[in-house]
Amino acid sequence: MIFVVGMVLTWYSCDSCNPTTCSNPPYAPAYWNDGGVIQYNNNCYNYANNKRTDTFAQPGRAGGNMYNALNCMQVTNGAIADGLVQTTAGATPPSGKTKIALVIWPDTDYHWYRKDSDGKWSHKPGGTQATNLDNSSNIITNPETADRGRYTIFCGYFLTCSDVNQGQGHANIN
Amino acid sequence: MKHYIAIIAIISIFIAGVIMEAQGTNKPVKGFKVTILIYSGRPNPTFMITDENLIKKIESSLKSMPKNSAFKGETVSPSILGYNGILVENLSDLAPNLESFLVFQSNVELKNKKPSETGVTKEILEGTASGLQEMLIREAQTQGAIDQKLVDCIFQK
Repeated sequence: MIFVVGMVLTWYSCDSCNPTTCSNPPYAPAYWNDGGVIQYNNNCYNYANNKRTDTFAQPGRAGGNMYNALNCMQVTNGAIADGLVQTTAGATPPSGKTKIALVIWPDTDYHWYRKDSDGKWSHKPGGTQATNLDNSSNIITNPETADRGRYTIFCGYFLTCSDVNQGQGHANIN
Repeated sequence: MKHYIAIIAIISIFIAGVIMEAQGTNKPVKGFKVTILIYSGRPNPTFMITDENLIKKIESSLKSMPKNSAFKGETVSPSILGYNGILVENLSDLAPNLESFLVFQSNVELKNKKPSETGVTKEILEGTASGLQEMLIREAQTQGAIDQKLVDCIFQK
C-alpha cells in the first residue's frame, strides 16, 4: 500500500514539477541534413521551431486554425494558434525563448528563419538542407535584409519555445 | 437454428469478400513518385509516373549518363529559396536497384539500393542541360501538378 502511494506521489510530482524549459539552439545543421526522412519531411516551420515532426508542419494545423491564404495575416494567425507569440526586432526574448521570423512569397508560399545561439540566423528552405546562408551565399545577420528571392514580404518576428537539442523544440506544431 | 447459422456464414463470407476487394483497389500506385522542390513552407507539388515506357526511358537515360567526377558538393540541390530541383522516388518494380534520384539543372544525384563495385550507393551523374529536368517538368505540367507560373519560376523567366 505504502509502495503504491509512493509511486502515485512520484508520478504526480514528476508531472507537475518539471515544466518545459525553453532554450536557444545552436546552429548544427547536420541533424537536419540527412538526405533522407528528416531532410525531406521537415520544412522551414519545423526547423524554425526546432521540432522534427516528419509532417512538413503547417502553421495553425496543430492549433486548429490553419491558414487558408498565403499572406502575412493568415499565416501569422496560424502560428499564434500554435502558441507562437509575436515580438519585435529589438525585443530581448524572455526565459530562453527563441526568436523566429516569417516572410511571404505573395500568394504562393511562406518561409521562416530562426535566430541561433550564436546570434546569427539560419533556415531550411523546404526539403533542402538547413543553412545559415541566404540566396546570395551571404551569412544571414538580418532576415529583413537577407536575399530572400521571391519571398519579398517581411511579416515580423515571433517567439517559440525551442530546445538546445536539434529537433526537440517544444512548440505545438504539426 | 441451422438456417440462421448458414445465413450468418454466407453474410460473413460476403462481407469478407467485399473487404478484400476494397483492399485490392486501395493498393498503392506503383511507379516513380516525383516531387518538385520549390516551396519552403507549403507542401511541394507531387505526381506519379506510372507509364512503364516512360519509366524505362528515364532509367535508360540515367544509365547513359557519365559520372560527374568534377562535382565536389554534398548534394546537387542548392539550399536556396525557390526552385531546388526534382526528387524522384522509385516505388515501382521496374528498376529494382534504383532507390531515388535528385535532378537539378544538368546534374543528377543517384541513390542505389545496393552499393556499386566501389562500395558507394550515391553517385553524381552529368546529363544535358535540357534533358531529364525539362522532361520531368513538362510531365508535371501535363499532369497538372504545376502551372505556367511555376514553370516560369523554375526556368527563371
